[in-house]
Amino acid sequence: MKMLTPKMKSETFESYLLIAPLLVLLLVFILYPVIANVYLSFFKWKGMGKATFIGLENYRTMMQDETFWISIKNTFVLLLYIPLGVILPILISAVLREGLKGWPIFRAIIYIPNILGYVIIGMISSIMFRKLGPLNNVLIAMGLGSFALDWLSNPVLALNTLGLVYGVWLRLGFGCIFFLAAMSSIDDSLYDAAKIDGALWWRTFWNVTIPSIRFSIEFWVVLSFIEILARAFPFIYTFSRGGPGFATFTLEYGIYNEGFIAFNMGYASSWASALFVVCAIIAYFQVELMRKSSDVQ
Amino acid sequence: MKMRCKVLCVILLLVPSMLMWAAGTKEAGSAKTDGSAVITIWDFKYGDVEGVQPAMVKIDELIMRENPGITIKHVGQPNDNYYQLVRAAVQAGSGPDIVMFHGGVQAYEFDDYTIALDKYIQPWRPEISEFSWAYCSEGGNGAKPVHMVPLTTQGFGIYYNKALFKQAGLDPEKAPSDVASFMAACEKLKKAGIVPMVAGLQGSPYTIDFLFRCFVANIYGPEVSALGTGKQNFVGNAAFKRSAEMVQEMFKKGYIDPAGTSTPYFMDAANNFAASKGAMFVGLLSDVCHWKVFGDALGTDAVGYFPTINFPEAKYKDQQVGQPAGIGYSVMKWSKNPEAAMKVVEGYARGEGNAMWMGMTGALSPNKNVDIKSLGYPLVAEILQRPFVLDFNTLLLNEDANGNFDRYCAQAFVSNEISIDKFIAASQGMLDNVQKSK
Repeated sequence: MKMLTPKMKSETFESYLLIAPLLVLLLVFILYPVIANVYLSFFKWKGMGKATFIGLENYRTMMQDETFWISIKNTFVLLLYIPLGVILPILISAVLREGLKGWPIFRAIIYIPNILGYVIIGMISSIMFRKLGPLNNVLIAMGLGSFALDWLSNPVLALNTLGLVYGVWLRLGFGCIFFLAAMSSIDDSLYDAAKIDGALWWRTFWNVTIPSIRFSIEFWVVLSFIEILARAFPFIYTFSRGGPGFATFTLEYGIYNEGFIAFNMGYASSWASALFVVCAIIAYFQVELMRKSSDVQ
Repeated sequence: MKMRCKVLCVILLLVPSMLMWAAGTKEAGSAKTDGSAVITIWDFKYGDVEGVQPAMVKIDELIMRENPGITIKHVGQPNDNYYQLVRAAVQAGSGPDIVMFHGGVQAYEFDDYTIALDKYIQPWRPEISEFSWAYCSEGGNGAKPVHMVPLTTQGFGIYYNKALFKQAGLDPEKAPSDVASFMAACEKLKKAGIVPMVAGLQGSPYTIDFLFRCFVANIYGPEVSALGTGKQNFVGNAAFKRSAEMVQEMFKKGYIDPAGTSTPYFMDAANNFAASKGAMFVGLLSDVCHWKVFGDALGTDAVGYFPTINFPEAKYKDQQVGQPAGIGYSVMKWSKNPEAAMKVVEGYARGEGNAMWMGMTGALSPNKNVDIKSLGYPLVAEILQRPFVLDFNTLLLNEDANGNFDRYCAQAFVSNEISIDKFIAASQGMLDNVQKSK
């Protein structure tokens, strides 16, 4: 067994000391809330006063709650927009990589949503997509009146509009910048070699670009899941408030609704635990996939 | 090595300072300065800088003039997370002396943290009806102590534009009263190119929500409280089903403003009615979207009002929906100066302060001593002369009252996701939830 020298011991201690602030923050703001949430899910608590232990009652109620299953369904529909939210910025970045006239202006335009933030974009979108809103007015003016739909009042359209705007468009700008940065690190000699071999654009893209930015893609996919599962609330709140009816009511929105509208804190915690389980399952499969592909590499 | 030591020192200093910062500071409740009481009020209305705040500033000044030892610190809290803030104060065990609450279940949840007011209101209790005091008592039980002083009586009704009625060939002085006359009036208005019912349906379909609250009060009359005990139900009531069918028919025939799905109720739809963009509007009786706003915009004699629509299947007629206390003030248990706090509350609930409150904001005061005629709005006298029937929404649990009913209305009438029967079943589910909670 290798013995630690005093110098090594000192360095180890200092290393722990250096990461201590971050660890403290993680414990206080991540680990403690997760444990407290699970603990609270076994209680009936109105957000003040005494909490009453009720065992698994909140989970039993949740399983019988139609709204919970609607929110699960809606959340999974939104997750279906992730592939589009990954493919589109990669394609745009691949085109832009080769140079485009007026790219700085285009880059500024597609990056605007990231500067404005979810709440502002949510508010603007709720106005844009109104039946008598600017989008439909433009479509009608262009002679495309048949495409001028009631985006926010039709439940199917509302959910898919949310998926497109939040899941795809909102992060398109950041996605392009992110993948362009990843592509800039690809050695030009690989493209030159592909060109010499007579590879066309699509083949080069598929066999050179994609494998070279594989880790960035995996990271972006993980980020996309987090965005939809756990960060969509401010956008949905300002965009549709979970409506019409329960059409855009997601798991995350349900936690807010139960916790801060109904003040059923214990019950809201059981929803949050369910979201935690969903996130954990997805994260497990993602890590496994990444590990496998890393081993193959 | 020196550099490393510096970094470590910074980290060691950073952690405790962050913890100290996180601990925060404690807000002084009713701190005494030079023998005078500072009374802090938390309020979700004070943020309305154009409508409500000027009135409250004047009333505060009046109270401070009349009570030289009192200084009022009025804090406007955000409406959207108001009750989260009040709960946080309760958990912390300190906060403002006076807290504004909505009447009903939202106030009852704080009964353990607010003081009984009976001894303070005793001298002037007759000025406000027992209907309101009972509603403001612990858990809504009139036999228990009063915990809130009501500042408004809230309710809903249908306002109409007399000029547009006349333009459509309708008698402006005769409001529709039953289903047949109401639908006939809608048809005439539509044929005249006038939007029959201005609507605000975007986000939450409040127009439909409020309309149903008018209908339920009228259908169940004094028996509406039995909806909370299981003796009355939505399922199996022919008049309730008829009312839902009528609303559906109104949508199908285009009597509800087609632009309604693009219009939020607060304040766009109300502004549309005030701008004569439609003939009728389901409005509030107090606070906002009411007789004063529409009277000021269209002319005090140009606005008509009817409380509901009568259904032939219903047992009762012409009932007006109301909440005995729309909003009110409670004094928190941690207040160090409950007497001074009650002086402030009293200043709002009666006398000159109350008259200013009603005159400047259009709030419908439950105080019977307010000279209504001096306000110059004939409509308000018409509203107040009718008896009120309890709003069924006040019987529901928080979640159903504040969101779920709107969602069922949206599903049934705006997006046509569910049938009328499913709507009735979902609405019945809210009543069943009340039963289960007991």
